[in-house]
Amino acid sequence: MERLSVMKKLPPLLVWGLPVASGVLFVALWYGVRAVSGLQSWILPTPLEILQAAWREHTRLLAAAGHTAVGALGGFTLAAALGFVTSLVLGVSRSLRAGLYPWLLVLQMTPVIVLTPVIMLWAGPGLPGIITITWLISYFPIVANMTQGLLSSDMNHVALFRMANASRLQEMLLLRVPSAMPYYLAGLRIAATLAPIGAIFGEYMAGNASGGTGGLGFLVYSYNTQIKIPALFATALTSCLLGFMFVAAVSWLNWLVLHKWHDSFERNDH
Amino acid sequence: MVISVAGCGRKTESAPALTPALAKIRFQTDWFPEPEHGGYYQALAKGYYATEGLDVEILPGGPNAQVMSSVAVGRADLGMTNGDDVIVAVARGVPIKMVAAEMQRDAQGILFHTAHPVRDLRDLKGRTVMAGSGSTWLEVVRKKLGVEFNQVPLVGDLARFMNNPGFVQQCFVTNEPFFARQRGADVGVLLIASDTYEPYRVMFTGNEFLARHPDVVGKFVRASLRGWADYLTGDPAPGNKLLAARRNDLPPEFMAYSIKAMNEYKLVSGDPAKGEFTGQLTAARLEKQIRLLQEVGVLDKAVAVSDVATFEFIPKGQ
Repeated sequence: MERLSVMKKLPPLLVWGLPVASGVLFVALWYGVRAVSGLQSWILPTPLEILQAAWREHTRLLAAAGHTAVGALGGFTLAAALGFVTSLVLGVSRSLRAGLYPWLLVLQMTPVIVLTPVIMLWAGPGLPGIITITWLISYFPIVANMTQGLLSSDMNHVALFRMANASRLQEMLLLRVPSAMPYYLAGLRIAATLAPIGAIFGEYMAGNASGGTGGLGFLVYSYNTQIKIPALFATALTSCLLGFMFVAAVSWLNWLVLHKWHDSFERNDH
Repeated sequence: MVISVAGCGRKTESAPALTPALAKIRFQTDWFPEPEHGGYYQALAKGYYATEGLDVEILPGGPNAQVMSSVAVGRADLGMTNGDDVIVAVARGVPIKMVAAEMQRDAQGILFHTAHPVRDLRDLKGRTVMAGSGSTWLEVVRKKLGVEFNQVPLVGDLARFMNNPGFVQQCFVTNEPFFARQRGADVGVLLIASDTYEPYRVMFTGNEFLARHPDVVGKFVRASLRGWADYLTGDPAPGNKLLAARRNDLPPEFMAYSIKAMNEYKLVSGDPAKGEFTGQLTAARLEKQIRLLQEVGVLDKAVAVSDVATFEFIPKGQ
């Protein structure tokens, strides 16, 4: 990737130093705004107040993050599995693709917020509804990427398979699916950033805090109505960390699947 | 799922030990567990449901809880919500009926800064009001009282309110005032319910369930009302303990405030001077509400009182 190679040319000190510097600058600006404006903590908490709130609320935040992770993982897994299968169906034939793809677009274009009441009615409140919402949000990028991947096999390889009289199934499973893996994983990576957001949104729209603890979306309600704004920021921080964990997990999966053969990973074996 | 308790026959002495199996009942609440559901949790904690032979599971609600639809499709057996909503749902063909009042008056109120008081709904004239879109009371104020105001959608936080002394917002008299005061705001609150508009909060069930298990409904209502009376006038600790176990973010002082507000506004007990009592629903008041809903355009057709409520489970007046 081009951006990565640019980063590589920077001395390591700058690679680490620049974000730290911009971070410090941002925090300084934050304190400055707070000091000049005279805003109270419940309007603009300082980073320290947010960290203090995070510490004070850490049991609640961790339990909520666990709750959200379950919803996010459920929706993500469902999207990954159904996305894979859907793409195979779409990749098999041009007419299936022509017949179904527009409807997938319709599904993608429909705002989930409009579907929420119906999802609540059909899937039920709490986890089933949250997983459905997360699935809806993270499904499409996987399908779009994977389908594109299945159609992007090297034409020379396809010609080779056809010359050897390989069946359509063989062509699909032995050639197209493996060569579509980088696309699939790229789709998963997008989905991984969307899944925690989807789950929090789901909790905010469809959660019921069953089992004694709600997820991060529930805490948004709770802290908001109780005007615990520093804790609300701490919730944002926690959500952000959860998002990074999801992306890190998929990046690791990406490395696991691709590092042995794909060009995007440089090998040190020569 | 419901296991019929027909074997119990008529009760002479309540003796739960003789009941072979408790009837399983799912009760859907309209929001995350909170003191406004306290009576049900008290009934559960003190064993009032078990005494009646019921094994009640209180299902937590939340945003988009769809309480009425859940009961109508059988995901829950009974539920609670605003009485107006049941009337409107019945008119739209949702097969449910009120079986008792939970509150004689809905707890919705107007939250204001005392520097810019709202003493009467007419004081809303020209003000900016944060309110739930589609709330019936908005139509009542506009059409019945002829008061115009700017409405902004309710998002459930107090940030804007806290920042703007002229701002008013829809609230529950049992809830937001506590948190606003805790943050140092000098606020007042006006109960929306008045002689013009006085919606109940109600317990309701699906018509099919009602036809098949009237005995269970009767027991549920009796135990719930007992729970409410005990929660508000006795020691609420057992109910609060259950609430806290299901929701660990509610401070005890808030629960105490909420209970105090329910008592102060006589939300559950009603006004004895008007002949009201806990659980009471009257045909006359429902009739009046239906007419009002029609008048302000929330209901597009008449609906019979006997279609929206049954009175067979209402306790006899004290």
